[in-house]
Amino acid sequence: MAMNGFNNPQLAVTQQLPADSSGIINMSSPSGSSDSGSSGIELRQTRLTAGHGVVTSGKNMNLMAKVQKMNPSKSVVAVESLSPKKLSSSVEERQKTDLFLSQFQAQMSQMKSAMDAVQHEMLVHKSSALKPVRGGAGRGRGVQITESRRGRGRGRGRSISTIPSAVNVLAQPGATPSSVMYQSQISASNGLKLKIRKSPNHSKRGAHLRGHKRGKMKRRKGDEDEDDVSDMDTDVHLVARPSSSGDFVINCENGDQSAGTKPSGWGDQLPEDILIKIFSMVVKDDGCIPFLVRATKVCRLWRKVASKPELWTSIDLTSARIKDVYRSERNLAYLLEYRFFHVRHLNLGGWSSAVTSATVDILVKNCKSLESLFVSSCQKLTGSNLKTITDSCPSLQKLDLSAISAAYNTKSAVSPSAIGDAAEVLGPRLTHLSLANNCLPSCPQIVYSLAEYCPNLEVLDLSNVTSPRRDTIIIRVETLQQGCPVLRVLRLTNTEIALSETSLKDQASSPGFPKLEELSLAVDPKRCQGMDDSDLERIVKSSIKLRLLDVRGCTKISDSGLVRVPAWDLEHLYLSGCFATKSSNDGLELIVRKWKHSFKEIDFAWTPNEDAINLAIKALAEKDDNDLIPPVKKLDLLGSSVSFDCVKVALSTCTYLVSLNLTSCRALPRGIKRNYPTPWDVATLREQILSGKYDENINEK
Amino acid sequence: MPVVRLQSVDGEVFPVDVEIARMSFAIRNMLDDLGVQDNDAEEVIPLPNVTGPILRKVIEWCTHHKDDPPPPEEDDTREKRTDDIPAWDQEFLRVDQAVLFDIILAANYLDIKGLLDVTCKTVANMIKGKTPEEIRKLFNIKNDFTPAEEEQIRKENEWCEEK
Repeated sequence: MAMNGFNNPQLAVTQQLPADSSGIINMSSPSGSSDSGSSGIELRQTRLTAGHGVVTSGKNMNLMAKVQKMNPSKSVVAVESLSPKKLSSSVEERQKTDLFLSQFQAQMSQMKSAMDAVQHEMLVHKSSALKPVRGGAGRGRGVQITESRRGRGRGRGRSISTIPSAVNVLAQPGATPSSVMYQSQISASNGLKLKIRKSPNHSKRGAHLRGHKRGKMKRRKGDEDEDDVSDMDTDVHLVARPSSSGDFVINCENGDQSAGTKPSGWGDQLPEDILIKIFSMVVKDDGCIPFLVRATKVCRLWRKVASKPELWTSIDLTSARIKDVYRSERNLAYLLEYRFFHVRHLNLGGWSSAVTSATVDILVKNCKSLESLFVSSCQKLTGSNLKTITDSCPSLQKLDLSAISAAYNTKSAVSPSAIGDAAEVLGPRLTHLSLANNCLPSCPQIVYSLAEYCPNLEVLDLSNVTSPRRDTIIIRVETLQQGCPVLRVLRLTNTEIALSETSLKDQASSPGFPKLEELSLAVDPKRCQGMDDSDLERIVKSSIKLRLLDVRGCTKISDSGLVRVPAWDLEHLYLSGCFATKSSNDGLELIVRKWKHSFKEIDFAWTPNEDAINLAIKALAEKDDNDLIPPVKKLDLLGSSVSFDCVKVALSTCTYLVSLNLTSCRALPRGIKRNYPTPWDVATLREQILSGKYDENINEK
Repeated sequence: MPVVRLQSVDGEVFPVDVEIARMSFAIRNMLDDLGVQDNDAEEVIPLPNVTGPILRKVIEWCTHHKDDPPPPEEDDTREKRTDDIPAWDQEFLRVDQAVLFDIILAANYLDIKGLLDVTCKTVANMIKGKTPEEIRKLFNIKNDFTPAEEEQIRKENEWCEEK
């Protein structure tokens, strides 16, 4: 995003907004996005009466598109209300800036190729966590680790292993340490990334240069954004600008007046309640860590305020800045006793040696208002610990017990009896439960006890679950549908689950999952075939609110099955490796036409059939009567046979696109077959392609 | 429009529309307590904690925001995002940290919730992601810890290292 600011201001603003308003944010601020998303859906729900499960005809498409218009227009308004103010404020300055920018852009584009690879890597690492977990793989990406673990030096092999992103629209806060698999992906497959990785100096220099240039530019522009955190900006804030009442402006341009001058009142005269107010604002945005720890070190007053337990409500201790050495029992005990007694959300993921019976006792004694507890990878947690927690935390709603047990263990916190007890005790309180990356004996029994006791369960994560004998887990999904009617998220990624034989009558009488928003059924096709069209239909039969569907690797799910999904506004669809991408007819096109108005992210990777992918992309890029810009932001065409013309059309129409993957697309001309992960990359590519740069390469390929 | 006269600590007197002055709950209470009549233009309200330049700034803000809807009641569920500062306020608050400090104190003293909110948000944005050293420098805060205290703080917080 930061890179975007270098374009000319108008362009930057228009691109920045849509990107900010959801796609990318989805990953980092799940609650916000989920809220806005669901309200969008509800809005449309009242307007659309067209039946579901039917391929929408052209007429219906228009209707949908009209309704959809509300969203884009909203963001346009936002653009207008933002930019004129900024732009008109200093026309002269802007001209100067433009000149500077054009020179600067030239420099930037040289640096770009290196930077984006690094950025991508960073992006990739951001969602991944601390260290790989044995036999584990994170939700949504399980397919990849199995691929790379098998290794076999496949290089850029034609597996689905390089599919990026496994966006959990409704991901729980804080990635669990088990969602690590990108580590292996980077080292396994892509030569380019490896190269960049080996020269960290390069990236550092780039980052430094970037910060420097930015600082400079900002001074000319007049310090537009407050959000930047680089050191270079410090002085910018201190430069007092002549304001309308100009007489009291104090200039401290160097930001270096601390020596000699009288210290300000910020450190000792600010009333505590104001400081609390300020701190709580930061904490709300950035979390307690590391901010409150840093504030503690500023001065006595700040320390006093930052140590107030009422500020420590939402604590994510998985942060990479906490070294393993310090994840000790003693430290955790200290924190629980002196800081955390107002904590509501606590993530102890990866504190495996610290979460023991002793600390659990301290936890339940001190943290009475605990609402969510994430103890991913805390393998010492036993069933009786879990019982202590569920018995003594009256507000507990969310539990993440992922990656606790890699083998069958009756004492573990994820043994069937322990989970069953927890489900019974928590009952209607339980809203989130993750059991991902565990070896779960009698998984069906666990699912049935959830169905029996937990009617308010909203999120259930059973990704990468194995059974002790590694056989298929058979579940009667209708039982879960009846017992957990408000389920929003169901993740079964890379878990060998099959649905039991159930009579048609039972299937018909089940309510389905009417609130389901996210469903992941992705599997590794080499290990199992996954679900088929009728299974998919049984799960989503009433899921009109579905926003994310991941069926990667499901070799038995076809385009006709997908097109029957009753969702009104599907936003994220991951298809690579499923049967739909292999069909030669116009199935993909029908899918695109059905949800073109809502698609934000589509993964068509490894679609071999030229006509199928080209028809689909053309349909995606087609403007309708209302001239609406397709909302799609991320498009993954990795290894597909998409044609240059289609890419060109897509780039010129889909102006909200912020990420495009063209790696290994064999029908494309030389020079553009790579990943374009940032808005900046996409904008550059668009400019180049539309100016005809690659036109002469087409025939060479 | 009836006018009240506000006097800063350094003796400067500002005639202000009553409606604007009443945005400050402190002044509103004062007016109500005093029972000041609308036409009582000679009445001067002294504000012993606010200097002239700051008072002028505060009045400028209140004048611009006089037609805002009343701020919603404080509650936990409301998103308190810090990135929604209106452009005018951003420009208005692009001032030296010392001035910002005085505005915060004035907003607090005069009890003008909207102004206090937006100034606090601005400060929150400024300290986000900064190291203690950067924060001290930014706000010219003196490090008043004794070496012993520093050592203790270091020990207490070593689990959350910088870098």
